[in-house]
Amino acid sequence: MSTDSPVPRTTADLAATIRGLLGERPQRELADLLGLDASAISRALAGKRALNLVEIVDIADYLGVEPSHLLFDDEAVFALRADEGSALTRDAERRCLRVIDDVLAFRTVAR
Amino acid sequence: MTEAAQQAQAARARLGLALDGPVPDLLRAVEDGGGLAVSVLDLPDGISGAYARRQGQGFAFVSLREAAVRQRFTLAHELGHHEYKDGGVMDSSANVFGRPTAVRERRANAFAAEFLAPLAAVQRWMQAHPEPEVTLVTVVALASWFRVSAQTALYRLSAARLVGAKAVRTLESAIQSGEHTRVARRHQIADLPDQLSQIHDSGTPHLPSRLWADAVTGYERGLLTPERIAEAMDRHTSDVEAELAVLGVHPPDDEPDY
Repeated sequence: MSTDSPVPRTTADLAATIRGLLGERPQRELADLLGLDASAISRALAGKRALNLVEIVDIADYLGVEPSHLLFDDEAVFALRADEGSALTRDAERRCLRVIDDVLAFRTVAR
Repeated sequence: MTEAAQQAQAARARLGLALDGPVPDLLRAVEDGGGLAVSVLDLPDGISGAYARRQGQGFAFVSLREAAVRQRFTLAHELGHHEYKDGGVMDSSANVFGRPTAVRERRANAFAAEFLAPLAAVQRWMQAHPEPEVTLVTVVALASWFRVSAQTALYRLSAARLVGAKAVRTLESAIQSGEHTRVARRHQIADLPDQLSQIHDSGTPHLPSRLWADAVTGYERGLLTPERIAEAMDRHTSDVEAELAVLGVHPPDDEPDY
């Protein structure tokens, strides 16, 4: 696995990631969870209002992902899996991660 | 037009692809213009593909086991994840070819459909092939032109309002029973070849093109051994050494700094 530091997400990227994970769940639920009004959550999900760390941790808990996945670009390579825990999925993930690590390692030596 | 369709059209324009025709070689377009590192791997049944982003590099994975028309749709789906800066995902076949509930998957599918067969191009093709009604031959010919499955071609005809709901049900039923393959054979409508179909036919996995180029540079600099390259490329060391010899590249004479 690469040991390079993960890249922190921008406010817009964080908002887009949360929107993607939120799916069809109503924004209202998230607003209630964070104690925000509709306007504030709407601006946050549009990337126009920065979220603080406590809010990000609460959102991660609500979405069922690690806070690091929201905070950093590359921390969790496969945040969403086809069939969580399935041996076949883990096998596919292992094969893909090997390619990713090799591509990044070879890119580093070629630079 | 949906937002995903607009995004697909913008991506097509960025990759230098016109909106009025098929994508001649999807893998090449995505690797060269899209900047994605594409792999076609022997993934387990039920997994159609995957997408990941690491250190600013996007990675798309496609199952070697699936038919070329499905591989193309999966690759376009993964490109959709990349365009939307989605997080990494292992895509089940249900995500790509079923009726997923997650917005991000539906969005990636809408992106893929418009990217591979823009509605404007479908309409244009139909204008050039006027028929009194849409038949299975029409669907198969359209699918072949755009290098997509008959099912996708039918959905695009439906989305373009070129075929009614009743006809869609009839044609869908015929496709599910495999009638479209018999029609294709009878009318000699073949799947147009491209890099993905060649990879599928050969049964040999494809690794990102840049992997070999970077491997050669790393070897020239004395930072990679043929054994390490062979391991990454899933090949025999002797084959790698032979290819490096053909290229005429050598590691530096100094003791390499591994």
